[in-house]
Amino acid sequence: MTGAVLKTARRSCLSLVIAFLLGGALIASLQHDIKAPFAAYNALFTGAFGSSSSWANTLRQTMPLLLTGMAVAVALSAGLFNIGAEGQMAVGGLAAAVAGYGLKDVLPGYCLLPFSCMVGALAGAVWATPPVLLRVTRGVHEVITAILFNYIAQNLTRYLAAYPLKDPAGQAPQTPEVGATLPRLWAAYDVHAGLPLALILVCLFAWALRYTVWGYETRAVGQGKGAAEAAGIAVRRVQVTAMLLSGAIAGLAGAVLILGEVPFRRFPADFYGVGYGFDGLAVALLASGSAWGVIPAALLFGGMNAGAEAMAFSVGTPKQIVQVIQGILIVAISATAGLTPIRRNFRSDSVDADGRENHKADVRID
Amino acid sequence: MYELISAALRLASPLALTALGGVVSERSGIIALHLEGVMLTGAFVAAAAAKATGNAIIGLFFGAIAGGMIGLLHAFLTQRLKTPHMLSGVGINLAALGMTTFALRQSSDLYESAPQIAPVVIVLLAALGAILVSFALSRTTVGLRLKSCGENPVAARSAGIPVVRLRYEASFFSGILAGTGGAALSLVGLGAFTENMTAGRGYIALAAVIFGKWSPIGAVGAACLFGLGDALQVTMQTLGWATILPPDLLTLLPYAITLIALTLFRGGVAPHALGIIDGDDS
Repeated sequence: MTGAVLKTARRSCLSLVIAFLLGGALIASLQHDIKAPFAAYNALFTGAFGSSSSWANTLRQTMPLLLTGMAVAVALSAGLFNIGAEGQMAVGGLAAAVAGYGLKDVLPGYCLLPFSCMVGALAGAVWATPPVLLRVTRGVHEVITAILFNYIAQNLTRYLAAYPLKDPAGQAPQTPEVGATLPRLWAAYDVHAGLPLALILVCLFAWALRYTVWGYETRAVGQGKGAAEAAGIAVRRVQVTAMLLSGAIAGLAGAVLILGEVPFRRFPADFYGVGYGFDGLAVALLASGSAWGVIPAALLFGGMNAGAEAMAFSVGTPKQIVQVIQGILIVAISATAGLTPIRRNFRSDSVDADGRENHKADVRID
Repeated sequence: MYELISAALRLASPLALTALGGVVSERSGIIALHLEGVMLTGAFVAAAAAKATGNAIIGLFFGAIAGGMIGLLHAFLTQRLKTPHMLSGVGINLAALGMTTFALRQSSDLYESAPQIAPVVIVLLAALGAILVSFALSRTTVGLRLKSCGENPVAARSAGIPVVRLRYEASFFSGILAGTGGAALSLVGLGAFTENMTAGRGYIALAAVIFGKWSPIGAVGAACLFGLGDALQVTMQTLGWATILPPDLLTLLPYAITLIALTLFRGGVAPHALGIIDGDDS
């Protein structure tokens, strides 16, 4: 057990080194300066972990990544790739904003807050439903449908926040301010109660995956659909449940962002694209499908996001370099994965026309 | 009506080229999720090369070659390093988006318009590509060998076919087609590269491959359908329908059409060994 964890950690570290080296080469070649990567990475690190305010910034960025990373990890543990987390997050955020405003005169604050969170989670689960249903009934791969649902979520939430649900009192295309917000942990920094909530949920997920019947069935399906089915596990039910849960967590991430963070507290029309949903993919992959791994991976990505702003500001390296590093990281991790859970999830992944799974893992090709 | 059809053809041809690339790649057994990144890279390199040389045809050429390079990278990752195809695709797309945006921020002159190509050239290229790929896959030795790699690599290998080499070649050629499709986006009409200018067209092209049941003609037909959806949206906006249906809902149309098409008309069978990683068992 410890050996496997060490192996995963070593592989993740190796992939990180590769990604940062290649990213550094790119900075050097595009800025025509061999010293540029050092300055950029120095600024990145200082911006992420250099002072208490940069730590606060990092933690602020880590909170949503814990949730979206966990959302993707839940789906991944059942052998599904939830690339739709970004869209589910936007829909969840909008639903929470609407609930938080619409019911603010009806419910007292301590009821309104959990209720808005729940509405957000529910909306995220609803948004994740069609892709997984199409997968298990019609055999359309969930990655393609979820990507299309992302585009639809982007346009739909932008339209709804800019026209029918717009705050009539203001000029900006955004919904009215919500009635109850998540309290801050420290008065001086924008780190709010979403952080402990996310940590508790990650721990709960790690525990449930290891010690409950649900977790056992989910892991069994993730490690091999054929064997799980032969053991009498209802594969489709497990996959639908995992995807709905994944969507709910992504929706909750959107809700917590809207209800907690200072620039929000209302749903802006351009909310889709904050990027936490896509970063969640990289976080879950870096964690190699392990629930506990989500915490360090989210912290690392939170730090990279927080540091990227500082880097762009102080040395002028565009913050998109972080995106490049994240892309290389995904490839590097999966290329060095060997036969680990991630790899197994993607192996016998195709479905035939009638929606029956082809258990192609039985076919050996060399 | 005439305008609608010409707009549909103009918008469909980059999708059709990319979808043809998708067919070639998937028939050889490689899942073509990386097409989005290929298109984006092709669009960027084409705009940059056209700008630098002042010649749009040279731009198109370099865009195609850049696409082919990304195709080779995807083949290397999936065949040599045995990365799961979906993950390699997602990683390439993310890195391509970051890298093109990064490079765009570094060279501000790319915002100005580059030399352009007449839309009819791209439409002709797409038609030519469709005939070529369709003929090659059904009538030539290399096409039949390629399909055997996607259906049953074990049998192909025992028949003496170099499966991995053919897949590299297929992925390179697929990248050239999709890179041309991407180059068409930046060289036709706008004549400049903008941030994330593909906006999911690579994924729509992949949906066209599935919807077209992995046949070149079917994929091009599906691409034309999606192009029509795109053209309808553009025409409705210029005709002033925006007062009835807001633009955000109109831009939703092509994605919704793709989804409905995928839901209703699924019936094809994927190449049997699509996305299977060599030597993975247990």
